[in-house]
Amino acid sequence: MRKQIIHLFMLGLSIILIQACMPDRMAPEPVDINRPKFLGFSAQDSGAINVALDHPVTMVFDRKMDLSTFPENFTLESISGPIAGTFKLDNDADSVVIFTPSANMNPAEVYTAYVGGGVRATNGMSRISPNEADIPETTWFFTTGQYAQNGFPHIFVLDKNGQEFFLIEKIDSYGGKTTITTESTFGSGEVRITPDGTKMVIANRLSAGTVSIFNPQDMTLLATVNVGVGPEQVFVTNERAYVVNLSGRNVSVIDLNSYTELTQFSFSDGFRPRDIVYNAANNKLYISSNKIGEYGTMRIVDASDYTSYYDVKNVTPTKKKTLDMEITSDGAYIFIAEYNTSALSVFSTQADSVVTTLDLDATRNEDGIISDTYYYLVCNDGNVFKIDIAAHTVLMQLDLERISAGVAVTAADEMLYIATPVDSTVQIVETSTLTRLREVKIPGTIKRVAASVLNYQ
Amino acid sequence: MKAKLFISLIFLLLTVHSLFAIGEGKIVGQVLDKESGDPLPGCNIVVEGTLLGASADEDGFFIILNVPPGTYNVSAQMVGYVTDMRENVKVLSNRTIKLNFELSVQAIEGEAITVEAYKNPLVQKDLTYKIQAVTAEEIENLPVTTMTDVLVQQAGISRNIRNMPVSSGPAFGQFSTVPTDNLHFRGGRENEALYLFDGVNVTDRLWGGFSLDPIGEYTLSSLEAYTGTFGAKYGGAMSGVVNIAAYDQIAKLPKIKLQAYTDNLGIKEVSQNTNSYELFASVAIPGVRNLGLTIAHRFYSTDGYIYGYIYPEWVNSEGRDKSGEPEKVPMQYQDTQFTFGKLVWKPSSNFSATIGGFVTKTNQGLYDHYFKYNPYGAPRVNLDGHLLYGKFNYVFNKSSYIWITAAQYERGFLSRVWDNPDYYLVIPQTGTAEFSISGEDWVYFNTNFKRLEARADYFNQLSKVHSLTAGFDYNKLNTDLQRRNPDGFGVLEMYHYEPVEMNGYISDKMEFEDMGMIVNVGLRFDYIDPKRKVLKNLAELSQPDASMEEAKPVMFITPRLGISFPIMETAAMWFGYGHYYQYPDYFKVFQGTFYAQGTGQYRPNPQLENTPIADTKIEPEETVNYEVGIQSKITPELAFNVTGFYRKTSNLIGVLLSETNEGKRFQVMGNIDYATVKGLEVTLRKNFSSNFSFVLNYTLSQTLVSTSILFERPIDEALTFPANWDQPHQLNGVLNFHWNNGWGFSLYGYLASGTPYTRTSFDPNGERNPSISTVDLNVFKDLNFFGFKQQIFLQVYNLFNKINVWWVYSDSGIPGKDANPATSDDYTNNPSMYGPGRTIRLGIKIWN
Repeated sequence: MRKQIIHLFMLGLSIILIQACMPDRMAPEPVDINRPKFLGFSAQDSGAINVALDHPVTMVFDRKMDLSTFPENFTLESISGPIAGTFKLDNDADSVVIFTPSANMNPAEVYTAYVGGGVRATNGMSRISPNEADIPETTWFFTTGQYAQNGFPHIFVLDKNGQEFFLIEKIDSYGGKTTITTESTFGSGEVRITPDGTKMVIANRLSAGTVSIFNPQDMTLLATVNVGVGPEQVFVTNERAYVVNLSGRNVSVIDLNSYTELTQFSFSDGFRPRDIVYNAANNKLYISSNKIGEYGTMRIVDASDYTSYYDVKNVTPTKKKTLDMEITSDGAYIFIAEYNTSALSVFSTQADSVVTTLDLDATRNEDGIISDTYYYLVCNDGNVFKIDIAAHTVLMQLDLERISAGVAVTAADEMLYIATPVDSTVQIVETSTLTRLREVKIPGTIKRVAASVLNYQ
Repeated sequence: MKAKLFISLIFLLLTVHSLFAIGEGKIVGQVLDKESGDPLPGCNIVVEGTLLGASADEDGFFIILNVPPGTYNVSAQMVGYVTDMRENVKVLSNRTIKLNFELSVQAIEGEAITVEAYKNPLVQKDLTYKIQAVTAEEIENLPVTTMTDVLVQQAGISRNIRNMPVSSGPAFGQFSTVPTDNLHFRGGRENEALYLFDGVNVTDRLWGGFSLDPIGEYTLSSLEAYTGTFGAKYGGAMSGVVNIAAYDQIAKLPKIKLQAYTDNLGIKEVSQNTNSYELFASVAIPGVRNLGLTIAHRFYSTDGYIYGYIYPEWVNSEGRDKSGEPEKVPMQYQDTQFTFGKLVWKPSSNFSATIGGFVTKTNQGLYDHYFKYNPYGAPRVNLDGHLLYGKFNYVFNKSSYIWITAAQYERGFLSRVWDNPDYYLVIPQTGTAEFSISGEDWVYFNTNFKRLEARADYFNQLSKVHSLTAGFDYNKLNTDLQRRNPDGFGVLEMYHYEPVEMNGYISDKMEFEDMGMIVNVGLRFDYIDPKRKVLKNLAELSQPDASMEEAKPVMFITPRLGISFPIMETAAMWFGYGHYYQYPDYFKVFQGTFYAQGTGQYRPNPQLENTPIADTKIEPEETVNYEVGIQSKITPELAFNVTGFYRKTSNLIGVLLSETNEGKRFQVMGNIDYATVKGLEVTLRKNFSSNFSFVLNYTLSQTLVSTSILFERPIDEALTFPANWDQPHQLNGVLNFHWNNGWGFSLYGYLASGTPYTRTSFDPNGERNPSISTVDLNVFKDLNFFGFKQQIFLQVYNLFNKINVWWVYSDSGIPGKDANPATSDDYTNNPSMYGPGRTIRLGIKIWN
């Protein structure tokens, strides 16, 4: 009896064990095989500026993504190269993928993010079929730089008539306008800011001839100084302002501490000054000629007593007038943009001769500006050239595709502000790659641009 | 019709006084005094291990009736005589075993019995139609896996070979997974056989087929196949009867049997990841007289030999990228379980009761080449069945008894990809022209068939000549079917019908001992009420409120006749004739029906496309069978059997075109097809002696049909051509060696003509696929350790690794490549064109 019960028990147990061996042949639960749709980057990643150096990139999809597929299909890079980072899903929405850089990004660089078609959702499907050409989704942003330390530079935009100027603050915000003069002028004169950033000097092309000196911080008028007739070109140091009075055919020297004209000198041989730069390295003034028949002549003047040393002829490539002259911070070269052409020459103050001429592929020059490293030239047709001041070669070119005028560069050589009068905007271009960041609408006709040296909240 | 009925009734009246046998066999013989030759009246003849027995009459004759099929020891015992025993007497259903005893006078008290091994007669003179039987002991050493494997070793039974791609099947392969018996009996279509388990009908009347394929060898007592003019007891089948007798004995001591085998031997090339276990226990329940319980369970699982592959980039690349390591997914797998239980109570010699049943589960896949790279998109099939029955036997007297049977049989069929309907909406169905990329097959079947059966069979041995059998059977059926379009899960077909089937029979087996002639004659009556409503006019199909009426029940009477007579001392001849009606499987009868919400009725679905609508009047299919045979002993151990047969079948279900009143054409399923089969079977059999036995079967046949595929319209109603399953030459044989040292082997070989295919529609099935052959081997060694018997066996299927070609491309005439230059080799090289390669299994059996 007992034996029989044991037999039956063993049999029952065996049957139960065997039942458990039945293989499961059912298909795994079906998974939606629709491809993931890329819905976009976050607003902070889409053309943003002043982006923190540790800023994460946020990508939004329509479904949960497989993070393991991102390293091979996502790139965040600037001109300095790609940057590594890690990926994670957003805590609140698993269809949001966040890329966090492993190290800080470089300041003041445009970073471009690329999301390739090979990123996959957790269902295994890639964003686009591998059989199709992979056109990545992209976005860019501009990292914060020196321009953002302790505030932002003030950008001043002079109207075409030179009667008022407009302020751009916090990179791209229109900050209002300030009246320079209520008198009719003969157009906008030069505007320059002293190297210590404390004063902005504007030449007022009035029949009487004045120079307005403003505080760049609050746009208050510090002084109005009478100069010769038709002041147009200005060069400033911390102490002096050298003003070329076109109609008066002389040069005014202004003491920027006392806001008084120290002297006014002209040339007895009939030399007519057109543009001027001061070289602190040799205490000389370099003045281009505005006299018919002597276009392209550079007069070198002792800045102590304003006596002429000698003239150097043919400093412009085609013997035309100068449009703009900018001297390097070490005083070694003067970049001379020719008037009404797209030619450029580089004048060596050591050799007192032109060492390089460049004929740029653009229409006529409009304005030039120099930083410690680069010279930027804006042409009327919207072409912007970035030129290495040591090698005297064009590094980059940007076509804004609109008529352009004045240009300014921020103190740390991070951004260019270029006036485009045709649409009354100022184009903001970062300097590393000449990428156009955005534009600011200005309520007036605009011509010249200047950037403060200091930053303001 | 009336004349037919009248003739049948006259026939019945002429034979009603005679007596017949039913499902059990009987043992008859005479007991004589060895020395004097005088009869020994009163001698007791006992069937060991049972309560069966008889006393010899005044002439020494005895008859033991009601012997269940199986193998027994039978002894003759009489006081003063030495007991005489015959071992291993094989009793078959409806058959008479002759045993003559000659008892010696007991010289010394307590003298030992004499034992003699019984040799089953090679020439069975009471054979009036072809019976092929194998016992559990014979099956044990065969290289077989399923019951089908055993059946196809018999003459005239062949396995259905799928000789077309699944997706070419009816309604784009939707019907490819439906269950059939997968067998052809003497050239008939599939599902033309009746399947009985312990005498209980286990045929699925909704789909055809049965649930017994995974049955374990320990459950079996014997398996018999009747392929010819079987008797009147059996109906609802035109081509054959398979009668399975389960283990029926009450073991005095507990019997335990275990068996396990696997082909996971570390050799990938010969493995299909097959595992099988079987357990068996039979015990006498203590405290109750003659109450025995038998339980058996078998588990079988195989991955099959055809796989699908999931490449990592297949879906993502829209079916272009097959790089990387693919996941290998079995697509032709089969997992089965079969659990059997039986409680037998024999409290007295004139009463016994049996309660038994089985539960079977089958999960299987069907390879569809289109889903080769999306294997989970192909449907999975579940076939779950169970049987519960009670049988009660009362013996009125030594010559008459009755069996009362009540049973419930149920079989579910589920073919789908997902169980959750919502899942069908998740993945879109996409694919190239050759392979599926994503999504799933358009198959969803969920059906259930149930039969409640009550029957009575009465037997009376009226005289030595006449034995009468009569019976009545009542069946209440339940047929539930849902066929849906997985794309949206809309209903294509849906119904619940409860048909009623009744039948009665009477038959007489006349055994003229003096002439040696046997006559089996019988008459059968069937009544079938499908219990469905049909459209009064099928042309109103498109009208949602077209009037309907009850379908008329069908009735038919069928005569059966079989005669066997000796032509020599060692030879006999028989002749058989019979009409065999089979009401079609109910899925054909109800084809195209759905539940119309508007009228609240089951009615034909007018929106169905690609599948037909059942006709309003469905008649039974009819076969007239003629059979003539001769059997003769060549040597004491060798005999042959030659059978010629002719079958003419009409009213087969087929498809024709019709038109609604609105002029819309639709397909109708009705009784339009016909077929003829003629053939010759030759069997050469050697009984076991000198350590070996063999059976060799050769069948020459021709099967001509008007259509081969159920859902295919005939090309020409007047034209017949070879059926898709027609194989003119079939040769198979089993060779069995068993030495006294326990070593042995059995070898099964099969060689047959290929199936036909159509190269041009002007000559349907005019070409032949290559011939098919295989050799299977089972080598074993019997052991005896720790008081148990053991056997270690090694089975090699397809010993010579012959790659059989099931079908070829009709345009190229070869497998693997068609004549279309636009198709890829990967597409045309469909692995289901080929049979499986060699597999090797190692196993062990343990029993007491």
